Amino acid sequence: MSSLFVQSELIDLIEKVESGERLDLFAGIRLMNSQDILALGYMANLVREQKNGNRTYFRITRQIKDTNVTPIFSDQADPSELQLMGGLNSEIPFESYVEMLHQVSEARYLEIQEAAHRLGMHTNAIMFYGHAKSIEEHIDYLLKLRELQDRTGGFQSFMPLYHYPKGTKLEEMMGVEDSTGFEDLKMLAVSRILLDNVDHIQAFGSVLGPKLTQVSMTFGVDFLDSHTMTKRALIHLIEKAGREPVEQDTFVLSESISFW
Amino acid sequence: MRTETQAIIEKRLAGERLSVADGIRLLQNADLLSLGQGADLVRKQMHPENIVSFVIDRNINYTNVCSCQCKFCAFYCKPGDPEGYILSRDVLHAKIEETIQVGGTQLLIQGGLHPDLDLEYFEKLLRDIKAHFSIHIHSFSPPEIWDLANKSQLGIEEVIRRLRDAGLDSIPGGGAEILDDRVRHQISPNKIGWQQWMDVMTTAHKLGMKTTATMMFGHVETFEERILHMVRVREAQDQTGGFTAFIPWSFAPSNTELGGEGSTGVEYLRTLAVARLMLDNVPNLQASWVTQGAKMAQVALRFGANDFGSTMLEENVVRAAGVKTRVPLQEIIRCIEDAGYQAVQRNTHYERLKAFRKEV
Repeated sequence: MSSLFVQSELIDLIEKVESGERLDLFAGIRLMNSQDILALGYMANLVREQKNGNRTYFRITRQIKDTNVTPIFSDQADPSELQLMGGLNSEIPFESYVEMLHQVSEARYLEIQEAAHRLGMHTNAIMFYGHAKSIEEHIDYLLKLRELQDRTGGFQSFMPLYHYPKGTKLEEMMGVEDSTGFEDLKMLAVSRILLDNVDHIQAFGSVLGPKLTQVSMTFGVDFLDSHTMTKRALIHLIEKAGREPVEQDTFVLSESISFW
Repeated sequence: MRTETQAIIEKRLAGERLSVADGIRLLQNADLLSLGQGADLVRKQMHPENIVSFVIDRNINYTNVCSCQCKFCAFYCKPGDPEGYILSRDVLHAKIEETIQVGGTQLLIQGGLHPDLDLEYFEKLLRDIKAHFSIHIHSFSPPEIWDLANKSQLGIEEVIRRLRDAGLDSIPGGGAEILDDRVRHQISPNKIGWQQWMDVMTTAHKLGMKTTATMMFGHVETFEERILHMVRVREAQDQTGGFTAFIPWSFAPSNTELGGEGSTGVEYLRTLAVARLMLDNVPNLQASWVTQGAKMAQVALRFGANDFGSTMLEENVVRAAGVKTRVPLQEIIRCIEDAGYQAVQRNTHYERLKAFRKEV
């Protein structure tokens, strides 16, 4: 371990992560409640580099102009809904996405994911975080995803996304409605630390902004998705963070589904 | 495993001073988290109390006309340009009144180097403000002091003395850019050299005035030049002790002649952390929400920063370069508290005035 972290209040958890030991609910809550984001980054980065080395995968998503997206859990859902994430544009209130996700309970969401995995599909999971739920609920949900992954191995990536208050648009994000930098980095790092059986942790660059997105690559993130940045700008960010950019046109495998 | 850069950081934690070569190695090779951790531990040594401070102030640009015409600046107008302005006394005083109304304690009044405004103009302006308002005047910058010295055919000590006698309380660290003349010739060929910048600061310090030092990085400078900048401030501070704070910010390229990519978020945090490790004798390090945004400025509190800078009721220069960030007082307090610190309003001398709590 780096000698610089021996004084950390999280030293016992750092040692567990270094020895590959899984963290439980209480440990997860401790991580989220700590202000020692550098220790979180240290742990998350260990897991990240074990799984993905120095690589950062990226994808430039297309912007869907038609905002009348079909709720993804309806019978009409088909693989083209993969692009829904690309449709997360500034003209659509975040609430629309949240509402779509909220059409199913968390339990139902996990059931659908599991059913897809049973059919041989790979899926990407998302979790909204923010004031609507407690830290304990967030950690509990991450551990449920981990447990499901142990059974099916069907998740290929996970992305925590801040749950904006009703009606928030991207261009109005500055100000008290937004998540904080600590909150974003903690959620990404803790996701990376706890989901030790999911390959990729994804950050949505259009929400974090280029600067924090770049920093997130040291806090567990190995996959970037953005429609507000050009390919050149994204590669620049990745390289300037000392990572190796790997473009993924079809990061999502052909038979897979995104439940967002 | 102990890397070379970790050994350098540990050397600093043990109280040793870092060399130019150490600083360059850190900027080149150290990983982001080790730099942050080193800077955070040094910060805790220097500021053991769990406090992050800020000042309520306003940046007022009395003119946008500037004969200096730096290539990194998107704010200035050339003399004679119809877009040029000089603030009237009424507008200036109304801005000061508003600042005081919201609990402001500090005014940062800066130009433009306007060819028509002389020392007597500013002496009158300062006396007029002090006659009507009780507020700390933290204003002008070394290039403006030199401009006034040249126009009045006086030495800088005499100019600073006269401005001080008229009401100037302290001098902000603007115009430092990178304190190295190779860089300055490229980005601001008409601006004073680095030694002239430093002469103003050390002269002011000897007259009993405090100043800050800024650094604008992420354009044409090398890592070595960035470290030299820090070391030159550190050496002057050894002589005078007059710098209250160091304030690094990144170059914002939009609408400037210099252009380019600009600096990244990781580069900002790395440079901030290295500044905390190098500048062992400058007490305070400011996070720059104006150039980085609120989220990054909050994260900077783990990379060596112990101060959130100013609320800046008004800021024109960075804004002109395409950075549109407005962080109100409540957001500053929320960022500080969310990071686990107590938010405290300070004055220009970093004396604590009032503890704040986020309004629920």
